[in-house]
Amino acid sequence: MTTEILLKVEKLTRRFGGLTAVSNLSFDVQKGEILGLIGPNGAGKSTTFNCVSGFYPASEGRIEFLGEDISKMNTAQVCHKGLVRTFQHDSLLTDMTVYDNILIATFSTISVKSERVRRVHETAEILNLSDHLQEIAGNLPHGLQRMVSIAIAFATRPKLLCLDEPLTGLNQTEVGGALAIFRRIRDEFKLSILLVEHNMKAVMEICDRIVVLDHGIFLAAGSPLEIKQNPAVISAYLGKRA
Amino acid sequence: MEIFGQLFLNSLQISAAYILFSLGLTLIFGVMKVVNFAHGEFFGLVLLLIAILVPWLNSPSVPLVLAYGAAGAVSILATMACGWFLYHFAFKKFQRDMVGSFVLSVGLSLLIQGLFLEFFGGVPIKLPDLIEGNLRILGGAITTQRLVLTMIALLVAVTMCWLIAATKLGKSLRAVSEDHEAAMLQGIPYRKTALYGFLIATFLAAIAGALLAPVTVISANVGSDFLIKGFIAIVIGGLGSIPGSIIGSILIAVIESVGGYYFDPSLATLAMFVITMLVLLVRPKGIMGNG
Amino acid sequence: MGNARSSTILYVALLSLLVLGGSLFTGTGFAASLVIWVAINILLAASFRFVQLIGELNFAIAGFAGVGAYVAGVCTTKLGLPFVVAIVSAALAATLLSLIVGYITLRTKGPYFMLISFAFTEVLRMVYTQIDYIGSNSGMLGVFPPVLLTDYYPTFVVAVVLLSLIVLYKIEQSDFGKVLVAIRNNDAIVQTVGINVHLTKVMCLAISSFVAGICGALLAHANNVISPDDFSFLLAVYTLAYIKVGGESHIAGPILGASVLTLLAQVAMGFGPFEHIFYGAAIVIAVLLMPDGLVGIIRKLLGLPPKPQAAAKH
Repeated sequence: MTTEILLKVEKLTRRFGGLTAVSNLSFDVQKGEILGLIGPNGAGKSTTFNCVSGFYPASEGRIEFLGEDISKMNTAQVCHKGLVRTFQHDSLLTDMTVYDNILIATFSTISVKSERVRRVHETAEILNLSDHLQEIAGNLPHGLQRMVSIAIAFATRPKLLCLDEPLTGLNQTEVGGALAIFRRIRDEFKLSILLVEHNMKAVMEICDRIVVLDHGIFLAAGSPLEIKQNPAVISAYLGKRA
Repeated sequence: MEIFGQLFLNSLQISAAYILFSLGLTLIFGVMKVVNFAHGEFFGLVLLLIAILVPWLNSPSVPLVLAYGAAGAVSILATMACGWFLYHFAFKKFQRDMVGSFVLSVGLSLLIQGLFLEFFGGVPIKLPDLIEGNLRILGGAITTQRLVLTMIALLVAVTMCWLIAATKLGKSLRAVSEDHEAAMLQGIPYRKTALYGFLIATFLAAIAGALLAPVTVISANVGSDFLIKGFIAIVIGGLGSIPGSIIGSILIAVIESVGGYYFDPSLATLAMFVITMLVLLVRPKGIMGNG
Repeated sequence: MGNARSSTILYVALLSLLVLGGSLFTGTGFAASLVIWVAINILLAASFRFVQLIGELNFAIAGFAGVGAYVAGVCTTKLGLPFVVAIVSAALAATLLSLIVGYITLRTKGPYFMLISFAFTEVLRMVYTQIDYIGSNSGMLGVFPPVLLTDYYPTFVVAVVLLSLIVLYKIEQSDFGKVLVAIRNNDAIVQTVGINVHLTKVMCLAISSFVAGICGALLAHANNVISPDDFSFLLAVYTLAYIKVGGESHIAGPILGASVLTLLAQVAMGFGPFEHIFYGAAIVIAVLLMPDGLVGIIRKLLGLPPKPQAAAKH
C-alpha cells in the first residue's frame, strides 16, 4: 500500500524581524490522513500554518503540494491547487447569512448556478447547518459559528483541509460532533486534514499522526500512542507548565 | 551655496509649522483611530480670532506685543474649548471608526469653513509684523520674526516629543496607540487618555496658528491648505507614528521650498501628491507605519 | 423571495414612468435644469455608494467624472463626434483610467485609500489647469447636446440615470455583488476560498467609474461649460452628503438623499459660504443623528428591521 504524499514541507523557516518563529521545519501530510500539529504556546504552529496556506511567504525553505512548489503562492492560488484553511479568529462573514457564507466559497470552483446551490446544501447538511441557512452568521452561537467557518473551507472541496484550532470554545458534545464530521469528511469525500489544535484529548482521538513543535523547531512525529509516550514531548509540555 | 542656505532656511520654517500640525493629526489617529479632517479648523480658528483681536486691541496704550500675546492666549483657550466640545459631542462616539469619523470630520470641516467665511468675510488680512529686522544666516535671508517663531515652534515640538517619550501620560498615549485593548487591560483609562490626546493635538494646531499669525495671510480657508499638507505628511510617514509625522513633515517642507523656488508652488503640490501615491504603493502603510 | 422581487420591479417601473412623465413637461428652463441636477447627483451618489460595497470611500469619483466630462466635451466641440459617441467615449475613458489607477491604489485600504483617491482627484484637477487644449483654467465652452435633444434633454438624462441605476442595482443583487459585500466584511476569507480579491476590487471601481464617466458627460452637456473646479474634492464631498443623508444600506438612499438635498439647497438659495454650511451641516446631522439616513427612518416607519451596517475591517 503506497502512501501518496499530499503536502511536503521542507526546511521551513520564518522570521519576523529579529525573531525566528519557525526554524528548519520538515514534515509531510499523506493522502487520506488526519495530521495533527501540536505544541506548547508559541511553538510556531500558527506561523507554519500561515506559511503553508500562503497567508505570508516563508523566509526560507520549500513547500510542495502534490509535487508542485507552492512556496510563493498566495491563499487564492493555493486554494485553486486544492489547499484551503480556516481561521482561528475573524473566521466567517459575520454580516451575511450562513447560506451566503458557504455560497461565496463555491464561486472559485463551480460556474453553474444550480451546482453551486447544490454544493451549499450538501455542505450545510454535513456540517449540521441546514436549519440555520437563512440566519445571519454573526448571530449564531459560538459552536455553530465554528461549523460555519469549517463549512466555508469545506465547500471548496479541497484535497487538503487546514483547520486552525477549530475546536476552541466548543463543549464536550460539540467536540464529539465535530470529530465525527472530520471523520466523515475524510472517509466520504477523500479529504485529508491538517489540524492545529490545543485540545489534546481530541487530537489523540482523531489524528492518524501527530507532529510536535516546540519553540519553532521540530520535536517529534509519530502515531498518537508514540507521541503520548515520547519523553521529549512530555518534558516540553511539563516544562511550560512549571 | 547661498541657494542651499536659503532653501535650508525656508524648509526649516515650513517644516516647523507642519511638524506641529501633523504631530497632532497623527496623535489623534494613533490614540483614537480617527482621521480628523477638521483639524485644520482649529488652526484656522486661532488665526481668525487673532486677526480680529489684534487690530481691536492694538492701540497706543496697548503695545503690539501685548496685543499679540493677549490675542494669542485668548484664541488658544477658545480653540481648546472648541476642541473639548467637538470631542464630547462628536468624535467620542466615533472612536475606532475610521470611516465614520472621517465622514463626520469632513462634514464638520465644511460646516466650520462655511461659518468662518460667513463671519469673517472673503477678504484676507495680513497682520503687522511683530518683530522687525532681517538676518543673514548660512547665506540665506530670513526675517528675525520668522526665525524667532520657527525656533519657538521647534521648541514646542521637541517638548511635545519629550512629553510623549518620558511622561506617564505620554506612555499611556503610546500604549493606547499600539494596542488599546492591551492598554486597557493594564489599567490605562482609555477615555481620559483619548481626551488628553485630542486636547494636546488641538493645542498643537492652535499654537501653530498663534505662531504663524504674524507671518501668514489670513483668510477663512487657511486651514485647508495646511490640512492637506499635514495629511500628506502623516500618510507618507505612517498614520499614528510620531517619528513618521516628523519625517513626512520635513519631506513635505523640503518639496515645498525647493519646488516653490525652482518651479511653481502648484507644481510643488502636484509633486507632493504624486510622491504620496508612490510611497503608498511601495509601503501601503507609510514609511514608518506598522505593517 | 419571488414576491419581493416582482413587487420591487413593479415599484421601479411605476417610479420610472412617473419620473419620465414628469420630466417631459419641463422642457427647458430652471425646472428642467433642476431635474437634470437632481438626476445626475442621484447617479453620482449611486456610483459612490457602489464602491462602498467593498468598504471604501471613493473620493476619486470626482476625478473620473471630470475625465468623462472633458472627454465628452472634446468629442463634441473639438472632434465633432455624435453625442452618443461622446458619452460612450467618456464612460470608456473613465473606466480605462480607473483600471490603471485602481490596480495600483486598491492595494491600500481605509484611510490610506481615502487619501490617495482624494489626492488623485486634486492631481487631475491641477493637470486640467495646465492643458491649453481643453481651456486650462478658463475651461471648455460650447458643450451642447444635439439639436434634436435640446428640448428633451431632461428626459434623456433621467432615462440614462434610471437605466444606470437599474443596472447598478442588478449587479449589487447578483452573486458578484455578494462577493463585494463579502470582501468588505472579511477579505482574508474571500481570498482564502480562491477569489482574487484585488482584481475584484478593481472591477468594482471600474464599474463605478464607468457610471461616473457618464455623469460627467451628462453634466458637461447640461452646463454647456466645463471648468477644472467643477470636479474637485468638493464634488465628492457633496456626493458623500447625499449618501449619508439618504442612507447607505439601500440603493434608494442615494436617490432620496440627492433629491432632498439638491432641492433643499435650491429652496434655501445657496450662494457662496452658505452652500458649505448647508452641506456640512447636512453631513454632520446625518452622521450623528441618522446613521442609516432617510432609508433608516423609512424602515422604522414601515416597521422593518434595521439593516446591520458593520464598518469594514481595516
